[in-house]
Amino acid sequence: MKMEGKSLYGKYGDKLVLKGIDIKIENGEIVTIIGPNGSGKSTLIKILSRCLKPMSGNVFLEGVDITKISTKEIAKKVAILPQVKNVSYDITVEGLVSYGRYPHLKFGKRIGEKDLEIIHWALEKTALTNLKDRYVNTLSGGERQRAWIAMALAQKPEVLFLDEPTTYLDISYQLEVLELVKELNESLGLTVIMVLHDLNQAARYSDNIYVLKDGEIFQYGRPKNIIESKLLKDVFRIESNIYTDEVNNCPYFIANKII
Amino acid sequence: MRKSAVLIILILLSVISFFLSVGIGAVKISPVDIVRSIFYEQDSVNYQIIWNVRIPRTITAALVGISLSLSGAILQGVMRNPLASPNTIGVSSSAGFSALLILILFPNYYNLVPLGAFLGALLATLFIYSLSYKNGALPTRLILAGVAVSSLFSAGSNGLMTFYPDRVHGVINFMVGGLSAITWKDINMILPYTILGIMILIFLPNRLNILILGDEIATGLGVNVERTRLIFIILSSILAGSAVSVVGLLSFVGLIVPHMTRMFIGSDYKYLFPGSIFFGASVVMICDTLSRVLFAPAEIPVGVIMSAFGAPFFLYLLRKKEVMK
Amino acid sequence: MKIKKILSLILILILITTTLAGCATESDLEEQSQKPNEEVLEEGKPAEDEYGIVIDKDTVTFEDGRGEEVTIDKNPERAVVLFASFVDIWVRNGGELVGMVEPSDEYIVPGTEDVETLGKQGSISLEKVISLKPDLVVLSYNTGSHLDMIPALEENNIPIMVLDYQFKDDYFKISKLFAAINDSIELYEQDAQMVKEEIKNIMDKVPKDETVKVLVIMATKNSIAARNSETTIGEMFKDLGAINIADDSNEKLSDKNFSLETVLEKDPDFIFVQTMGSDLEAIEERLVKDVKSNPAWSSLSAVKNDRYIVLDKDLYTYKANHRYAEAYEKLARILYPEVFN
Repeated sequence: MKMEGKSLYGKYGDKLVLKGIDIKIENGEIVTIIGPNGSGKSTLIKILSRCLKPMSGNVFLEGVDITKISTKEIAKKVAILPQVKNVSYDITVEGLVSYGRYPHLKFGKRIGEKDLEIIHWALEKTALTNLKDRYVNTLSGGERQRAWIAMALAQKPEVLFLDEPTTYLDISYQLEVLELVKELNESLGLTVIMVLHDLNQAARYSDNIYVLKDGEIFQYGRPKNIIESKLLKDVFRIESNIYTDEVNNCPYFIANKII
Repeated sequence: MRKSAVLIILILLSVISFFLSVGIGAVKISPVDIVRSIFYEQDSVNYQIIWNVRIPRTITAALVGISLSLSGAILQGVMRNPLASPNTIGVSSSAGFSALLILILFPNYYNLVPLGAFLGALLATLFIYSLSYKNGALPTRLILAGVAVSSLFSAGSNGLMTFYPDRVHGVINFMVGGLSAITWKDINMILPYTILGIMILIFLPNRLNILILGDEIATGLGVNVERTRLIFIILSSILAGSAVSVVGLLSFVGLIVPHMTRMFIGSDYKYLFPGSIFFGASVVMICDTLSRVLFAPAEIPVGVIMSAFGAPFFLYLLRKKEVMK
Repeated sequence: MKIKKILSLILILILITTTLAGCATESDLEEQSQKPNEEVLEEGKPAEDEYGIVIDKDTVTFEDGRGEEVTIDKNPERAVVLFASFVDIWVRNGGELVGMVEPSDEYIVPGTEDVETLGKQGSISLEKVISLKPDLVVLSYNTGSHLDMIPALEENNIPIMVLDYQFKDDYFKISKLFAAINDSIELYEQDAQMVKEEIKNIMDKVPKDETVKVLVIMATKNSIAARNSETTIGEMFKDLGAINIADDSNEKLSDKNFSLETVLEKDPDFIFVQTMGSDLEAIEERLVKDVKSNPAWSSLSAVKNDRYIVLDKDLYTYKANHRYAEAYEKLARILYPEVFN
C-alpha cells in the first residue's frame, strides 16, 4: 500500500472539518475524492500531502509516518499540484519545471547535466518542448496546468496529488489535463490522488473513489458502485439517471431534479 | 539583454558611484590630490577629509544601500506583496521609537542609540511575527500585524515627543535620515550584518523563488515554509535594523530599489539579490553625493534627494515596463 | 515546539553578534567615564569662579554642556563657531573667526561679513569645517546635528566646545568663557557683567506684594503652545515675579492640545505671544484659528483689558544676548507700569 491515512481529524480555520477519516491508496492507483462543498475534500488532500497538520491521526507513506520524514525527503517521492499557484511574469516554462529538481539538489548545488535531462524528459512527457521558452503566464489554461504537472514530474515522484486540477478550465483543457494524468499513471505507474468536482470525470478516470460527506467517508469503492442513484441522492441531493459509457467503460449520470 | 550583462553594468555603476562620492564634496580636491593625500601626505587636511570624512561616509552609504535593498527584496518575496518594505515589518518605526526612548531616558548615552535602535527593530519584528503566528505566519497576517505595530510605535514616538519636547532635539535628525558626520566607528555597526546577510543569502535565492510560487507548491517541493519564512524575516530585519540604526529612517530605498532592479534584471532572486546589492549601493552613494553638492556647503538629508529624484524616475520606468505581479 | 527552538537559537546568534559588534561602542563608553570629572585645584592657582570656570595663564577650564570638564587653550587663531547666538557673543568678547554658520536672518554680526560660511544651522558641511584647519570649534549642545558631529571632529583631533545655552546664566557664563579664552576679560566686565547687574537691579525693583498671572504662548504657523518657566522666555517672567499659568498645567497647554478652557479657568492678567517663523500672516491665521476665533476668547480679562501683547522677535524669540537687560526692562514696564516707567 502506497499511502494511508488513519483516523484523521482536521480543522479548517476553527471549524472541525474532518471527523475520523480512514483512507487507503494502493500503488499505481488513481484515487479520487469527491463530495459536496464543505465536506472537507481540500482539507483531506492537504493533510495527506502534508501541507496541513491533522488535529489527530496519522498519514503513512509506504508504511512510514510522514511526520518522521523530512519534508525534502517526502518531496523526492510526492509531488503536489494545488489550487493556489502564483507565477511571476517572467518565468519561462523551462524555468518553472527546473524548480521541480529542487528536492534532489544538494545544499547550495546548482542544476547539473542529469537534472537537465530530467527536465527535458518532463517537458516531452507533457508535450511542452516547443513551448519551453515561453513565459508561463502567456500560456492557455490547459498548457499552464501541463507546465505545473511537468514541474511535478521533474521531481520524479511516485505519488502525485492534484487539488481540483480541472476547475475553471475550458472543457478541452479539462480533457487535456485528465488524459495526461491517465497517461502518466499508465506509463510510469504514478500513483494519483485527486480531488475532482465533476463526478462524471471522477467516474471515468478513477480506479477508486472516496465520497466525503460532512467530514466523514460516506462510501468508497469502484466507480460503478459509487455512481448510483441512492448515493447521489443522499450525498448530492439530486435525482438522476445512470448510464454506461461504452467507449470509456465507465458509468455516467445525468441529473434530473433537485431533492 | 542578458541578465549577466545587466549585472556587470550594475557592478560598474557602483564602482563609478564610489569614486564619484569620494571625489566630490563641498571642498574641491582634484583626483591627483586625492591619490597623493592617501599615499603620501597622511597628515594633510586633504587626507583628513578624504580618509576620515568621505571614505567612511561612502562606504556606509554603500552598506546602507545594500542592506536596505536586500531587506526590501526579501520582504517583497516573502510577503508576496510589491508594497512590502522594511517599514512594513515595523523596523523603521520601532527603531525610531527605541532611539527616542534612549535619548529621553538616558540622554547621556546617546552613543547607545544605534545599538538600541537595532535591538528595538529586531524585537519588534519578532513581536510582529509571533502576533501573526497561528498555525503558521501567513503573509497577509504578517502585513496587517506589521502595519498595526508600526502605527503603534509611531504613536508612541509622537507621544514621547509631546511629553518631552525639550529632549527631542537630537531625534529629528535621526528621523529624517542622514549620512553627515559618519565615522569609521559607525561602519562597525552595520558592516558585520551586511556581510552576514550576504553570506546567508548566497544560499537562499531558490528557496525564495519557490516560496513565491505558493505555500503549498513550496511544501510540495520540499521547502519548510514556516522555517524559511521566519529565517527570511529575521534576516531582513537584521539588515534593515542595522542600516536604520546608523543612518536613521530612510524609507525610499527598501521599497523602490528592488522594484527598479526587477525591471532591469527580472524577478529571479539568483539575479535579483546581487542586482539589488549593486544597484542599492549605487543609488545611495549617488544620492549622498548629490546631497553634498547641490547646495554646498549646506547638506540636504539623503532621504530628500532620493525621493526627489527616485520617485519620478520610478514613475517613468513604470510607464515603460510591466511591474511585478 | 520546533519553531520556538529555532527562534531561540536565532535570538542567541543575534545576541552574540550584537555583543561583538557593540564591543566597539562599549569601549567608547568606558573611555568617557574614565575622564576626570572632579575639580582640580592646584596650589597657587586661582579657584573656580561663580560659573565653574578656572582661568589659568594659557588655558581655560570649565564644565561643558555634556557635563564634561574641558580645557581649552587661550587665544585660538582659527576658531569656527557653528551657532548664531554664539557667533554674536564670541565677537563681542574679543574673538575672531575663520568660519561660521550661515546667518539665518538679515542680522549679520558686525565684523563677520567676510567670514566663510559652512552651511545652515542644521546642515553644516563637516568637510568644510575640517578644510579650514580649525584649532577650536564651538558647538551647541541643544542642536542634534552638532552632537552628531562630535565623534567626527574628535577623530580628527579638533578641539571642541559644546555649550548649553538656555537661560540667562548660560549667557553670562558663555560671555565670560569667551572673554577668558580670548584674553579679554575686560570686555566681559564692560558688557555682559553690566547686563547681569542691570537685570539684578530690575529684579530687585519688582514689587513683592503684587501677584501677576501671565500666559506666554509661542505661535508658529503650525502650532500654538504655552511656555512654562523652564524656558528662556519663561525664566524672564519668573524672575519678574509673575506667575506662569503653564507651570502646573503644561500638558493641557502643549502644542498637541492647547486647551482654551484651562486658560479661561486660570484667567491670566496678561497674554504674551512669542512668534517663530517669517510668515507673519500664516502665524496670525494660526492664532485666529486655534485661539482667537473661539467666542470665549473675548471674555478673558487680558483681552478685555487690552493686555494681549505680541513680543519682538529680536528680544524674545531669538536670544537677546547683550540686550537681555533691555528685554527685561520692557517686560517690567508692561507688567508693573507704576514702578517701571
